[in-house]
Amino acid sequence: MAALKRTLLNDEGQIQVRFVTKQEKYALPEAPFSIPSGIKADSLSVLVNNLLRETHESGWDEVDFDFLVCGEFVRLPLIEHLKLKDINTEVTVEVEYLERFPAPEPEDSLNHDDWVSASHCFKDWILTGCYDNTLHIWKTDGTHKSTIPGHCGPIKGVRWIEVTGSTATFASVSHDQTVMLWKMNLETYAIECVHIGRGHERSIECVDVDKNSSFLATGGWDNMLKIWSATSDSNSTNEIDDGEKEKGCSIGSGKSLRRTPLMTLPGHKEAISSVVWTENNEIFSSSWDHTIKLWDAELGGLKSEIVGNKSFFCISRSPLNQTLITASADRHIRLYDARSQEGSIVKATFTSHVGWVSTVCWSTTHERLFVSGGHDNILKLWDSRSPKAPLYDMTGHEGKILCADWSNPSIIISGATDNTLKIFKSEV
Amino acid sequence: MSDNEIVLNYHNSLLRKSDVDLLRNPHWLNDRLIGFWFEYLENSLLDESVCLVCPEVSQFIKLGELSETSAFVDPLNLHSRSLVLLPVNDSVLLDHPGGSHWSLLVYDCFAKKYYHFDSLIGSNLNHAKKIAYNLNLSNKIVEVRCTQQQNSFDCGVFVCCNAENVMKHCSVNKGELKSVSPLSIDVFKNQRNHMLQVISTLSCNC
Repeated sequence: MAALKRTLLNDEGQIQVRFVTKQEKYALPEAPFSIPSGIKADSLSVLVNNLLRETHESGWDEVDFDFLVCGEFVRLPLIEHLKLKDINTEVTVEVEYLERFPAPEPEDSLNHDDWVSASHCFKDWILTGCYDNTLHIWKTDGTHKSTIPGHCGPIKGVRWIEVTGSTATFASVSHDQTVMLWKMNLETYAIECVHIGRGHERSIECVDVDKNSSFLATGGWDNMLKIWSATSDSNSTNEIDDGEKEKGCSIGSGKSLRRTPLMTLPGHKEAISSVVWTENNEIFSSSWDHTIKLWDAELGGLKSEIVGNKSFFCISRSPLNQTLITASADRHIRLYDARSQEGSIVKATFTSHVGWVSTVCWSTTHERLFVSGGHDNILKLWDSRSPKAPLYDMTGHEGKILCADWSNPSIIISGATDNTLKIFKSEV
Repeated sequence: MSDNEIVLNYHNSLLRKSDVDLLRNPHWLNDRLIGFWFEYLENSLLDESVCLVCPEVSQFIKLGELSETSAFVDPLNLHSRSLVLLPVNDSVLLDHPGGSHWSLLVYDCFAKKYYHFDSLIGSNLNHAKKIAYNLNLSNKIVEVRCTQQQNSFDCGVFVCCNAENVMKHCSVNKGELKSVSPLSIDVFKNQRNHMLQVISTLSCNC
C-alpha cells in the first residue's frame, strides 16, 4: 500500500478520498487515500483495480469501473467535478465505484420498405409497424416471419398483447383511424385480424395494453383517449365489419368483427402522442398540449396532471421506481415523479441530443437506465445519475429515430426514417 | 424603458420594447416578431431539412423580379429541404413593412405540394400563389381547412401557432398536411403569453 501511495504523490494537489461501493464483490477497506486532484475516471478505475488485485492473491481480472461523487458520474478531472458540485476538498471525499454497464453492441439491421414508425419486443418476437401500411413479425435473430397487410394508412403504434401456448395476439393502430387486433398461430404463422376498432375520428398515434392483457388504450389526433377490450374472443353480438372503402383500399376481409370503444376520455386540447398503463388500472397520456394526464381507467376520470411548457412526444414509466421520463419538442429529456406532491416539477433534465427527442424507453431491469432516440439519428443509453452526458451513443441510423423499445432486457431496438429497425445487444 | 430600447438580441433578430408591446396588447404582430419566432423555432428544431423563411425575404420573393430573387433564394437551397415555411403578407410594398393580413404558406416535399393556412380563409390566397409561383417548387396549392380567427388582429398569432404545429406534425409524420388537425382556439389564446415568456427567458440568459 505504501509503495502505491508514493508513486501517486507528485507536484499536483492531492485530495483525500474514501472508496465505497454497493457491490459486495468489489469491496475494499475503507481507509482514506490520497490521490492527485486532476485524476480522471479511467485512472481511478486503474487504481481501484490495482487495489483489488492486491487483496486477491489468486489473481484479478480487470473490471471497468465508473465513479459517482455526490450522486453524479465523474466525467471531468476530479477537482473540476468537485468544484462544479461545490464540494469542500479539504475533507475526505466519498467516491462510490460500480462496475460500468457495458456498451450495447450493434447486432442487426432489419430492412423495411418505408419508415419504421412503431416497434415492440416480447421475448424473442419483434413486431414492427411501417409507413407503407404493413406490419411485420420478426425473430430477434433477424429472421423475417411475416408481412401483414390490412391497414390503409401508416402504422403508428404496435403492441404485443399475449403469447400463450401456440397463439399470439397483438394490436396495431394507424392513420386510417382504426385499432386492429390480430391473432397469430406461432407454428404456422397463420394470421387473422379478429377485430377492427372504430371510433377515433382522426389518425391514431399510440397504443398500450394493460398489465392483465385485457384492455387497450389509444390516443391520437382527435385528442380523445379511448379504452378498448383487448380480448380476442368472438362475441356474437358484435357485427361483422364489412370494411370501408378508403381511396380504393378496403379494410378487413369481411370476417373481422367490429368493436367500439368501452370508454372515451376527453380532456386533452391537442394530439395525444403516447399512452402508458400502470399496474393500478391507471393510464398516463402525454400530449402536444404540454400536459401529461393521469386517468383512472375504472371510473373514467382525470386523477392528476403534469404541466410542462413544450409538447410531449413520448413518455415512459419505469416499472421499478414508477418515475416518468419524457421526450419533447426540444432537445431535453425530463424526469418527473408523478407520485410526489410536486409532480409538475422536473426532477432531472438530460441534455445531449442535438435536435428534438422523439422517443424514450426505461429499462425493465435496471432502475436507472433508459434509452432515448432523436432527430439527430442517435440512440442514447443514459444512467439517470448522469444528466449531462449519456453512457453511450449508439450510432448507425441514417434517419430520424421514430421509435425505440427495451421491453426485452437483452436487446434494444430502434426504428427510423432510414427504413430500418436496428437491434443492439444489451447486458441484461 | 423607452420604446426604442432593445429587449432581446437573438441571433439575427433584434426586438425592441415597441415590438414586444405588440404582444401585450391586442395589436397585429409585426415583421420583427414573426421573424424572431421563426428563428426561435428553427433554432429549437436544429433540423437542416426544415427551412423557415423570414417575412422580409418572403415578401421579396413575392414582389421582386425573378432575376433578382435568385440571389436571396438560391442560398436557402429550398429544393433540398423537406419542409419550407413562408409567412405571407398582403402588402404590395417592397421597401417597407405594411399590409393588413398574415397567413402561412408551407411547401411539403413528400406531397410535392404547397399548403396554405389562412385564418381568414380566401383572403391571402392570391398573395400565397404569387410566392408559390415564383419559387416554382410545385404547381399545386391546397387551401387547408384550419381554425379561423375570431377577431381582427390575431392573424400573426395564427401564423406563429400554425408554423409550430406544422413543424411538430412533420417531425413525426411524412407530410399529410391536409389532414393536420385544426388547433383548438385555446392554443391561439395562449400564444401571446407564451411568446412573452420565451422572450423573457431568453433575455435573462443574455
